[in-house]
Amino acid sequence: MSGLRSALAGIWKEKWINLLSVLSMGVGLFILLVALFAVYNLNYFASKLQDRFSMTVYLDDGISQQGLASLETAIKASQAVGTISYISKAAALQELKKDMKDSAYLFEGLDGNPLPASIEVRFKRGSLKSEAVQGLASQIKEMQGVQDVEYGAKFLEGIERIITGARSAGVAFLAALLAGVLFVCYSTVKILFYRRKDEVETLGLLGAGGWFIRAPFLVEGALLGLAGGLLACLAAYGVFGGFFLGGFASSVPVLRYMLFPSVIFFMPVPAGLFIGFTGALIALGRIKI
Amino acid sequence: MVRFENVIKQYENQQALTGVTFQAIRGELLFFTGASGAGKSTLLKLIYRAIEPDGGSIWVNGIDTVSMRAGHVPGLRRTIGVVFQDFRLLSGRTIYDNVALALRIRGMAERALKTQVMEVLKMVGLRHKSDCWPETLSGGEQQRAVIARAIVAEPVLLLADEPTGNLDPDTAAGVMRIFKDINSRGTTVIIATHNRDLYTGTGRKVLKLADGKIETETTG
Repeated sequence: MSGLRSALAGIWKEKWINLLSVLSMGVGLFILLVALFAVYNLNYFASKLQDRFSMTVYLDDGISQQGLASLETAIKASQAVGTISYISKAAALQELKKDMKDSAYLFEGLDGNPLPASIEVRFKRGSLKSEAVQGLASQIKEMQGVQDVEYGAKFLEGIERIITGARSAGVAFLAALLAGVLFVCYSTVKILFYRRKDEVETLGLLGAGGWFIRAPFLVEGALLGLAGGLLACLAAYGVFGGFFLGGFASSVPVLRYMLFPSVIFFMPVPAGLFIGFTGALIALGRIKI
Repeated sequence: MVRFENVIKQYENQQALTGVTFQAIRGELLFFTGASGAGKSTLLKLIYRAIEPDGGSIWVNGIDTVSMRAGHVPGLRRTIGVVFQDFRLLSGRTIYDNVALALRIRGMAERALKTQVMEVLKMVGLRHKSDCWPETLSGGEQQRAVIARAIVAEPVLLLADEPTGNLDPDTAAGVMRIFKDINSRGTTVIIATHNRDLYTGTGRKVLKLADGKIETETTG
């Protein structure tokens, strides 16, 4: 209670420097929030692309019902496989005709059905790894009744590269921003501490222990971080409300599909609190009292 | 209560104390006197370990403060009340908060300390100034506020460094009355002063410092 009272008095006493810190941290946390939304959406779009991915297992014409059943069971046994669906020869031809209805003449005089029956394999979200898919494809290729296996190897590798790149860049960017915000709080608390050196010295001479002296600065750091976080939230709400809900998003197609989860929206508040406290802790850690 | 044995203290090129030996027993009211720069403030600072000696031994409340670990210094200081020469009142806090600080440092609950703070402020005649900021008080009032802060936690030892340095004779006499009152309750009081009027006629021990040593021991 005494620490909180001292912290509030300290914040008021050095209101201008504290206001600048809150603004700096608010801007930093706002950029952090935007970066988080970007990373979240990149991940989301990448996972959507993964949902479209499938592997086609072409079957021998002479495969028996029993052979088909055992093949399906073997494919399903893989941990990565989500769903499978059988496409008969007739269904494959019908599908092709539907797709190529403008070139129907190509099918005139066609003797029989040259298309093989197939099994379409879709994968579970999160378990789509090119190495695993490649391994499964080779495994299936060796199974009886299988003519060939096809999947978009390059497409899959491309998605993987996008996800890995986006995650790495996102993490690096977020870490740099976090470090920046942390440094702002660290510097502020350090400056405040030195500006109140006389007070700190007096407290020490009166018999105050290290934590009695440090507590108000820690509370101050946490409160500054919290204020910065709230500011970032308000700014995000303003931008989101003004631009996205206000109709701007409808004129930029990609924004229409973007997601803004509320968990991320409020993240700057606890993040600011944590960063503020940690920054203050680091700033005071090396100071001899 | 306080014992110095051959204590030496040196500042860069200046010898502040060159072998001071003395003892203040429990419940005593003792004066250190001497010209400016004689080492009075240094001696008091050594007692509450604001500085460390370059030689000799110091015992406070039976504890050897020279070999004391840094972590135990706050505990030692909490047993001592100090009236600083430069007051050291915190400008961002009211007189009430400045005085209450000494109790908050000792972990006293807010409800309990209020009565104690107001009683001490009444004792030094500053009850009506409890909500004032230090800078709005006169020199004498600030001095009394510092005394209030020093005695509010009822320390076993009270140190006062030039407590009447900037005060008129009447106010100085009032301050001295407070010290005598505190001393009569059993607190050991050590006062460093160059104000002869303060100790003359008190019948108390007066140690005169000169050239970093105790030159004479008389009775005031």
